[in-house]
Amino acid sequence: MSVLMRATEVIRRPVVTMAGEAVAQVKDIVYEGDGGHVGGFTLAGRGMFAGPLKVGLAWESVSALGSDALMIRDEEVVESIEQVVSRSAARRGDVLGSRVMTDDGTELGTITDVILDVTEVADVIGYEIDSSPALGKDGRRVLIPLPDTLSISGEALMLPSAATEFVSDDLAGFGAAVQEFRTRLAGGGAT
Amino acid sequence: MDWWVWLLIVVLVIGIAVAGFAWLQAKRRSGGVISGGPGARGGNGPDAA
Repeated sequence: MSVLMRATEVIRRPVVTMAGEAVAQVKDIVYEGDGGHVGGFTLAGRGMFAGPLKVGLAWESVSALGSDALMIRDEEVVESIEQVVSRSAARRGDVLGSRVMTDDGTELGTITDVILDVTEVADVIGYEIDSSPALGKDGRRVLIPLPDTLSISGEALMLPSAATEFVSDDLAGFGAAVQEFRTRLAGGGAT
Repeated sequence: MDWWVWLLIVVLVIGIAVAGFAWLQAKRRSGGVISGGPGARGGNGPDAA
């Protein structure tokens, strides 16, 4: 079953073992820009005085990403943070707050969230952006689809200009908009 | 000053320090969506650990 969710909903979600023990919480989501999917998570402690941990979790080690918790088999599956983060070496930095530009040089806005399609993998299918005037949405937050394969490099994230035709206001119907956008790209109709 | 004034000051200082530390840790626990290796720009990357 496929579930669409915002990446920020996953942040601070508890990490629970199959024995029912909450061992950590999600700190960062590691986005593998090369493949357009989530590669893993960095973790933080759960207590009031706990800070970030020096361990992470690869996506392959996650048993389930539920609405209330991220389930793992046991504490043995956590890895050093370098092992998780170094999997995606395409670009360094926070995706949130980055600018989005089209390939014809139009700035569309800044990213406020990342939209995930969670099945056996967590594909990154779109961005939620604070829209720029060029998008004609009165500065509202909108969802914009991503191509199947997306290489991230540099300060701004580049999209085909055809993406502006498939902008959605909310998650309802966004999955269909992504499919239509990708079908258009596959058909060579992007301009 | 009376002893209880000093006690009040000490309790206040300790309370502010504990609350400040808890706030700082809560801020460090919150993250974002990162792409790439250690040294991510901003304060929420893995280097913040």
